[in-house]
Amino acid sequence: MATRLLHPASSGFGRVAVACFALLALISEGTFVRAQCTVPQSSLFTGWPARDVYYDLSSVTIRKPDGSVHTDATDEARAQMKAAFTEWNGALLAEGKGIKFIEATNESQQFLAEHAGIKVTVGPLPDSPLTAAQTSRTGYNSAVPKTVDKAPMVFDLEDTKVFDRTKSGWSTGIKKVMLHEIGHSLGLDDTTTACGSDNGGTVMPASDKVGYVWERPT
Amino acid sequence: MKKPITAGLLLSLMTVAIVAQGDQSRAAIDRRLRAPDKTTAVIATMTPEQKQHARLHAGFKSTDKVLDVGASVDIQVHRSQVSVTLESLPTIVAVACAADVAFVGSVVSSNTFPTLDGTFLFTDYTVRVQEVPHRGVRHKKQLPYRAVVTRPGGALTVGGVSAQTTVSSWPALQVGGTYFFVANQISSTGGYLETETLDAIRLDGQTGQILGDRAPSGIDRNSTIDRDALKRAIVSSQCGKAGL
Repeated sequence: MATRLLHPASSGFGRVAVACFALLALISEGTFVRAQCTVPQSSLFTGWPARDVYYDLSSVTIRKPDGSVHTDATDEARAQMKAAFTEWNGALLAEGKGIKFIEATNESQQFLAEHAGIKVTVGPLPDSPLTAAQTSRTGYNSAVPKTVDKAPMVFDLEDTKVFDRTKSGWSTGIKKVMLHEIGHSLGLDDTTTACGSDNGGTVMPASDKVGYVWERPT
Repeated sequence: MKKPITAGLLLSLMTVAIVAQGDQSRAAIDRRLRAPDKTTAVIATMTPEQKQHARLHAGFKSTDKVLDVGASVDIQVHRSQVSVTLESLPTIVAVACAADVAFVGSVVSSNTFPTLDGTFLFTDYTVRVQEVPHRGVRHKKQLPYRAVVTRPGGALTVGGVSAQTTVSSWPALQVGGTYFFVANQISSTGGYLETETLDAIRLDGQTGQILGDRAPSGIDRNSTIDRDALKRAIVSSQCGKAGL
């Protein structure tokens, strides 16, 4: 199935296939049966142009109630986010998209991540409760639809209803949400079309079910 | 001997091209960082009411002054929901009852402005009020014939430079479109801000659908809502009686 999905007939289909492929890789340990998914393409953004895209996780920090940095949780969160980028890189390489996500490891790269890539931060989000994350696709060219020039992301890691660190496997939810947010940066929108159980057949569901977010299907 | 020279030339050209692309990217970033201020002049033309509405949308931000750099920003909000399945109609009625007003109206015009820090846009929609199935005790006066509903997002062109901001949880309303709004009155301006927990319901004749992804956890926001059934449910509830 994965092979078929990796040879799409059109670029739009390719993006769908990529989204599905990424999920297939993500949940390959599970037993869900995945159907072909329809993921809408943004009418505003086509995604990244073919280039290296730096991402910066250095501001991703989880704190203890006393305000000190929770090192283990922070490391785990960053590792899960990095794993999501790695997974997308695999799918993008297989599709020949010419887009590669690279972690920023020095000041120069962090500057590029902030102004021409993906800077990930942690903080409260202005909307209603249970908001897990947001991605701000930003473009400066006048053509419509536009390519993405940068896509800062905010994760509400302190929202324990969404990212409950008392539950085992809590951090896999971070990877799943990051897979979703990266999909947005690539020009994919949410889908509300049923696509396997609980809309779990795509990385672009309109919303996750609490409890499903961090638990692998068994 | 020719082949190595050609290959060397090609390699040099590719290197120059790559370096140039890198410089251009860096230069483009620098240009954006030094973009002239267009935002202040626009904010200076806004009325006190519009500035107050701008303050209400201060939570929506991007990393640029969008009018200065001509940015398009599309915020995709990803939310989780509880896995309880509730019946849509009673849940929507409960949300409506908790708000100042629930009304049906058609959008007659829209005006877009920057938020006060210039990093996002919002739109004031003028809505012709058609029906008011719920008016709570906090909303003492009748609704005006034309009400202003303010929402984050919008598009604006200043000095030939266009900026656009969208939020997945607050999609733009269409001029000419008819919507069911659940909103609270903004006491300082007389305008209306919809509740965070339920987006406008777009009405297409007799049926409706929740516009964006703001919907009470546990209901299927894709379900079709019958306009008359919704109105009857609100009017027959206690909150409907109190408001009419």
